[in-house]
Amino acid sequence: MEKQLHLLTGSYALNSLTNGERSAFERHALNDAETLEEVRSLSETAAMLAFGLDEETPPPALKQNVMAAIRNTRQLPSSAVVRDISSARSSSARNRGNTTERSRWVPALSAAAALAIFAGVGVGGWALGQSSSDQEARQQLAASQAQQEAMLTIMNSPDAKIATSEISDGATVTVASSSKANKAAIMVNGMPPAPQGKIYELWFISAAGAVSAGMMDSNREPAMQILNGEMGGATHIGITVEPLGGSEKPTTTPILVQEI
Amino acid sequence: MGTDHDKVDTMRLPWMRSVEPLVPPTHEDLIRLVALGDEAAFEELYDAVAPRVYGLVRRVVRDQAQSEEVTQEIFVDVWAQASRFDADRGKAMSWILVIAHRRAVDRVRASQASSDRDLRQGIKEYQESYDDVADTVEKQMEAARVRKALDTLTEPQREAISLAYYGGYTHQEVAELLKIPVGTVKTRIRDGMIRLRDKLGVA
Repeated sequence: MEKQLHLLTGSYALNSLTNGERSAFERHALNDAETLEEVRSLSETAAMLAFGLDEETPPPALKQNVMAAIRNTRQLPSSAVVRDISSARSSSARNRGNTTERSRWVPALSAAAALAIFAGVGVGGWALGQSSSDQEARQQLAASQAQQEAMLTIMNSPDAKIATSEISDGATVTVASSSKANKAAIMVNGMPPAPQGKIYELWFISAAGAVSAGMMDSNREPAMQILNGEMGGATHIGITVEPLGGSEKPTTTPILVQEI
Repeated sequence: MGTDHDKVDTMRLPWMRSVEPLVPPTHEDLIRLVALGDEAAFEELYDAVAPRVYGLVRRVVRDQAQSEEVTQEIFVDVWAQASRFDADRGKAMSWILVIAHRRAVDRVRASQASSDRDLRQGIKEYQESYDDVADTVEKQMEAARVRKALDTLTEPQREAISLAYYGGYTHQEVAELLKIPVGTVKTRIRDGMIRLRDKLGVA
């Protein structure tokens, strides 16, 4: 029986199972990593088949109906979006019509949404994930609350900005900053560990040079971190690979320089 | 490190590919914004993908009024479930098309039109589907890739997959159409899909 169900991956991906077969198959697949993976890849393959058809522009009225419908439709909570936001490129439809200079910034992103996301980070797991004792957990919680407060300060500022860059192989760094709050924070996702004996160091960069903003805590993913110190007149934030313990000044070519 | 702006600018040169400002948002970017309730991003996403989605729905559902209803359901789904999209599991367009195909097939099965469908028409529909693929080949790279991949299938595999996907038939129905055991259909579909996956380089 199990064997037979396993053979249904292709039919499942093509939606050619009856409802009864579909639920039996799903019960089976949920407990079988290999089947699940095959379903995932075959579903993506099935979607490619749609590219074999002609496109057809739907009537304009349909778009009006859809836009009206979504305004009355609640979205699933986005607490799970923590990781996603860290790789969201920030150019949005807000910039449409301005194709020659599409800003990478989403000014203040919509404060409410941003708060939900970053609050979600604190609760969602990066802070309390690895604690081995209550004591440690309490310390982490306190640290996380301090970080969250600092993040709220940034996000509540009228000049809050968020920008995301991809640095390599899909690793992304999101920088949130506010001159008013005089603070900046980063979130990284998919960042490879620093090479043996090295560490990522953060920098506030201005015309006057680079000032260390602390080491990156790369043990946690997705990691949110408030940069040490004040933004001051910094125009960019940088990341370099430095020897353990960090350097006074950058000694390698930055892997990221993000305008803020 | 630089002590003036020039230095900073020089630093930005080779390795800052994504700091280039003129990159338009990808579908993935848009979905992430949609998950945050961004209606403008949703509209942009709609404009970008609706013709592809509607083309698929029309193929499977046929009836225009029903196709429009189904397309609306699909986009409301995309809006409501955007936070579920996980870029690690595939492309945004695939995610949307999976939702779209499921919705289209559900409609076909549920509607009266479905029970009235003459199964013997199926073969003809399959032939049309395959012709469509040929028609669009010059226009679209993706279509070309799909066709090339379809060409590597055996004729029985291609037939079974096209009937199931473009025709919206259950594998039971495909078996009736082709007058072969349903077990054979399952095998043809799975073997063919695995071959397509490998040809298309779907990870």
